[in-house]
Amino acid sequence: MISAEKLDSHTAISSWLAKYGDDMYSWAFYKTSSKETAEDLVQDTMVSVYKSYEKYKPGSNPKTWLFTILNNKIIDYYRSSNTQKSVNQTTLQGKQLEDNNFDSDGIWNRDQDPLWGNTEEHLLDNPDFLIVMESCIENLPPNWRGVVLGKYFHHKKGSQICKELGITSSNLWQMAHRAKLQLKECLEANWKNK
Amino acid sequence: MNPLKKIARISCKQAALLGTKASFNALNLFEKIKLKMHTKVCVTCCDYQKNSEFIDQAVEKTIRQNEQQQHTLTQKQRNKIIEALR
Repeated sequence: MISAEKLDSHTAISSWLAKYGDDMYSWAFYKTSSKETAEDLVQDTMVSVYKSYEKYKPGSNPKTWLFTILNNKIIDYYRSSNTQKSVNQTTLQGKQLEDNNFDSDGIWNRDQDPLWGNTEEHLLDNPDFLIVMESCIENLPPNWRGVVLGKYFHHKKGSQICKELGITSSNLWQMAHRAKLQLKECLEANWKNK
Repeated sequence: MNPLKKIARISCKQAALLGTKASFNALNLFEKIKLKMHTKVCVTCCDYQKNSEFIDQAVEKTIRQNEQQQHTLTQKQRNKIIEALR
């Protein structure tokens, strides 16, 4: 049997989801570039709000409260993507990428043809290209994605990105470098040879 | 070989890493010299650098586009979230 209080909070949160759900989802997507992650983050936020509903001060703006919790969830998401276990996995993936690109002396294995062909200026305005780019970003491992997006959100300030993600600066350069190689491979596979 | 040249000699792999670091404006003077000396003689690294800058622009454009877009949760996604409140 659900108590009357729980029923109240359930109704309140359902109405908040109806009212603010799309804004939360859009924000989470903007901060993570992953629809799946954005959905999970909205769900986690709603579950947290449901569990701590008694902390809500009636009359205050629920949107502010929801977004505070959502932003904390986003930080947690990136932090947890930088735990030793996840980093070990992506280190392996990164080494593989480097082996695909460089020989044992660290020399490029092949020429680096321009990704844009002859259409550079138009490509960034081409919606089809941006869809491919979006999916390449989405397919990055979360910790690399955090670095790539963090570079944009923090205006290239490495120290701020490291602080937010809980990583060292040498990790930052390494992850940014490997993320770049992966994005390049993804574009070569999914755009250039289309 | 000039000893300075020898000290400053780096592989393409190291140059690519330094190039990424440069895009955060984080190179020290010695790293700047090493990168410059390498890209001056290495055509492939020059080409990669251009690709790398293009990717940076494409990432920026994609994120800026995401900022302006409103995304909508489907009814199925909403039901799933409500279902989780138990």
